[in-house]
Amino acid sequence: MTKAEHHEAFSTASMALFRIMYGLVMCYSLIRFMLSGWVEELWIKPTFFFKYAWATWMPVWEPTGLYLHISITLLAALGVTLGLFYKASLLVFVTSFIGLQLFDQTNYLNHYYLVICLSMPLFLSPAGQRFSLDCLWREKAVLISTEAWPLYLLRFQLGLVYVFAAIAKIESDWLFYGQPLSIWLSSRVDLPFIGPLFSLDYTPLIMSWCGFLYDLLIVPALLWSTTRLWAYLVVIGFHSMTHILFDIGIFPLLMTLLTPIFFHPNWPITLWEKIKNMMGDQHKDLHTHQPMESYSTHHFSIQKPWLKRSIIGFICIWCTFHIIFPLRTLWLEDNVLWSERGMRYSWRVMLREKNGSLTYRVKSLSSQREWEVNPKAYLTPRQLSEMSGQADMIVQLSHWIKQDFETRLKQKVAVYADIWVSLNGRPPKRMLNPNLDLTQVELDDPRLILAPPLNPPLHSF
Amino acid sequence: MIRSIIKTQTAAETQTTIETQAGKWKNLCCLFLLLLSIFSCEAELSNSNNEVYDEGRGQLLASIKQHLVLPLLTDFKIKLDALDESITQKDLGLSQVAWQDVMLHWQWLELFQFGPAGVSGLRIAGQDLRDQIYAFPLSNPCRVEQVWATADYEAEAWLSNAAINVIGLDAMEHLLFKEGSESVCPDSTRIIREGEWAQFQDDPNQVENQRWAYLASLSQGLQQGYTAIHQAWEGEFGQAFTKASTPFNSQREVIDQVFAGMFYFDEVVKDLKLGAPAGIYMTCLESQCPEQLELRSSNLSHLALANNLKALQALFKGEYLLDLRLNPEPNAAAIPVYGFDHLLEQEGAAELSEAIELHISEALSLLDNISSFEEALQDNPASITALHTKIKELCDLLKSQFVTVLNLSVPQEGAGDND
Repeated sequence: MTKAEHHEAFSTASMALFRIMYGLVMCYSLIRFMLSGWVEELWIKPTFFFKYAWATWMPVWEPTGLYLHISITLLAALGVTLGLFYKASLLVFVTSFIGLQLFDQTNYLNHYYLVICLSMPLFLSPAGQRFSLDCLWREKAVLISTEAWPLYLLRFQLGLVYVFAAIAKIESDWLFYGQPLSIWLSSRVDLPFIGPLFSLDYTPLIMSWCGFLYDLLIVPALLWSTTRLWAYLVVIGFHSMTHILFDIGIFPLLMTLLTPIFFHPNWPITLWEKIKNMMGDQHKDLHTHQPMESYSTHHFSIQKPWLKRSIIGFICIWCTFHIIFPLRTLWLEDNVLWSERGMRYSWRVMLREKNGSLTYRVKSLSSQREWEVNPKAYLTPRQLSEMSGQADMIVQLSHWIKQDFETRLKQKVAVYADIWVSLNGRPPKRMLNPNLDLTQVELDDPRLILAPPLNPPLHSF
Repeated sequence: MIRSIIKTQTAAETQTTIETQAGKWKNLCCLFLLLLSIFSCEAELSNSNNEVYDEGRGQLLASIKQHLVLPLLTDFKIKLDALDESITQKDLGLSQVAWQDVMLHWQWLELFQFGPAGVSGLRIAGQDLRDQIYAFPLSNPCRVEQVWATADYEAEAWLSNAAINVIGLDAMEHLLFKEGSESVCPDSTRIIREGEWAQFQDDPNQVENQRWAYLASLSQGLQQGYTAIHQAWEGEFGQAFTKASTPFNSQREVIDQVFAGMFYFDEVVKDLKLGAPAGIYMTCLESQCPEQLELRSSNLSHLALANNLKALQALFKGEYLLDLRLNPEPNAAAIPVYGFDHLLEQEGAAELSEAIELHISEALSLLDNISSFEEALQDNPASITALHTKIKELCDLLKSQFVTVLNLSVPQEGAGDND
């Protein structure tokens, strides 16, 4: 064994535990989804669905099909958790999970995107061949150590969320005015213990800076063994706080359970040994001779040079994409929080409190008669709330309204929008050009989105 | 070779880590337990917040209950009793006046469609009680005539089982203000098709007797509706409302419910009361749809809308002004008056409060120049359009900056998560 070989060998334990946590959180999420009645709220009640521009073909199943789809996703997530038919389960899980996301653009969440992104490093890693039923029942070789890259790839994918979340916070509303935290915290002063703190003028600003520094520093702090334990304590504190303060679903749980991937790769074994030692003192007869894994063990490495080259090439492309794509907003001259261009897939998490009042105007091209249309007539309250500040969705609904009116009136119509948006507490400002027929406009038309507000946000200091 | 690598590496890893980080693992175990307990306790935390309040929000809720809802309900009862009395006397003129009084007073309370008056399933503690009193925009004069002609109201437990469009103040309006003997029902309805209405109209005594019997039944329904709402506000719901206790999880949730009530302005006032009759809103494809006017028979549409605006104004000021009250409540004096204007000021958005109040005042001024919506639609439709524009601007403020500054939830948006 060369020195280089020795250094390349990493325990697969933390990756396997990562897989288990990933699968468990997704199982919990899907069960919660069904028990909360969200299948009906999000996919059965709506009569109109917002589609991603690149997936307009995606149908929404009938109720039975929906429940079947979610059940399959849940079973696959369970397969991932248990490591049973691991790669097949992961493939089925991620495919069907993507399908769920494609039903309605309204339901886009950064942490669902993260779940999808993480599936690729998980697929390439040996995470399914340790602590898994594939090893126990299907006699697959236990891979107890691995080359470094699968671990680094997982860390990279997870670390990106924090790094880009920090970059996104480098803007004046967050760093100088403590917005939107100030708005959010002021409505939570009734929380026990911590609530009264939120009413102090500078608390939101201090918390904004803490959030920024947390995102910026947490990955190196978790990687460095000297600060690791304290850093994880901060992870727990931070995500527990966000869980209590905001409705962000599984995100805090997901991140808290996945961040140990930054620990020493053998940490689960070390922990287990420690527990065994502690138990051994008291129950020696029961546990002394019970090995944790009594089956044959192997090292995970890719032997075929062409395959290795291909995978390395793919990983390079994958990583480059995931670094460059979130930064695409740098090329746009927009205020992303206002225009929302580049908002998705760029880890801009919880950065703005934005609400809009939207009214469509439908104009008959033959009679010049005009009607006002409340989008509520076509949407569920959640869809309405999500779309009221997002140009692409407003344009999408305008096509549907045009179709509806042309069918009813038997004449051609144009559709305009009056949309007034308040960003981080600023007075409302018109967001879209009211004189453009939205059914005839391209999303990248520079006339579509009006200039963002330049005045400072609401602030109390 | 591979086996030896594994053994050497894992053994080294294990040994080193155990030696250097042994103490840390205990802490890590504790951290995991802490994490689990935090996540599992969160729901309990949010439910146990009854002892800690935001003072401003607490005062707002107390003020809404003590200086708005309860005094409005008290006056409603006084007017309702007068209506009951006039119906007992079978005096049409007196009943019309008394009904107008009740109807216009109820327009203040239309804004408070949350809690017991709210829709069950949509509003926390909703019991659909508003619909027992007033059903607009679901009013249906034809269905009222069917009940009138067939005396369905005599059936046992009819009030409890009747559809909302044959009970309440809107049904009363048709019975009190209908002119002539022609039915409003289309020929295809059973009472016209089978001649029941014509036969009914042949006997004026029967028409009158059944009118007053039906009105008496409706008046009884109004009293029941009022009692249920009043009892809820005086009892458990009223306490939960001010203390943000069960069924509410937080003060924020209670204020969200109040805000949901304010959406009445966007969905009903702007679109249905003004937009639809004026041919501005999508439900009217003709140039105008006066038949969609609220309270058309009694010609009270404009006064009803004025009272909706005054109720919103009162919500911002925090009280139903003493000089308007029939029975000022002495007990409420100890509770300070606190409206949304105070809360917005507390949040550093006094300008927004001023803007909203200015819009309300301007809308009321525009209304002063309109003597009847029906006449204005014919003679001066621009006045209706101007009023609609003003109300729309008001709604834009409520749905954008007001929601943002107070971090309110738009009604029913709750399903799903955010990030």
